[in-house]
Amino acid sequence: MRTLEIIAIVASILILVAAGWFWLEQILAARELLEIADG
Amino acid sequence: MDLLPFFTWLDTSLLADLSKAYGGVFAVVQMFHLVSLAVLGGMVLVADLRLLGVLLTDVPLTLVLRETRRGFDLALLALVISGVFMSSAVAMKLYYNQMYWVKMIALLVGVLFVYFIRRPLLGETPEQLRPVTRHLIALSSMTTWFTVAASGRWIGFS
Repeated sequence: MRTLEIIAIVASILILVAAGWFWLEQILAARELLEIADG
Repeated sequence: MDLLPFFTWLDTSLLADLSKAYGGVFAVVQMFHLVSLAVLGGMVLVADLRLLGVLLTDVPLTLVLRETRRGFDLALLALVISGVFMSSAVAMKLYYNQMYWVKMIALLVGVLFVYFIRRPLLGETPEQLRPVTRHLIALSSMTTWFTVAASGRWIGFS
């Protein structure tokens, strides 16, 4: 496997983890806000 | 690195005067910004869904990647130029907006990924790459540009 291919795999996994974490955090925060609004 | 001096300068620049004084000009530039985003999103989706083997499977992968490249480059250029103009109208508000920085970081990651990893790797013989590599590249690319677009829209609501 070429070096660039390894870099691409690592970068892709990092991007997916970071973006997944970020959006999950946003969804959880939005759900919390909705629960507070519902009382 | 503190970018506050840059945003302070942008807020009082000629560009800011133009964008704040002429609502019509701002609206037209915003229209170009959104159309460019749509074109960029289209190019990303076509290329990445082809990489995943979902779309245009009867068209050679190299052809799809080559044909979407130019549209992507032009759309990105138009996005950046119109984006700087739009930013100048609300520079200080953007500086303190979390979603703006999320968008900028995602944009930077997307640009670096496209020009330094994705293109050099897929440029020659993408068919020879392992399917798992192609799929990972496509998924991370779509995720990055989705984040750019979604956080960009979120700026308007935060």
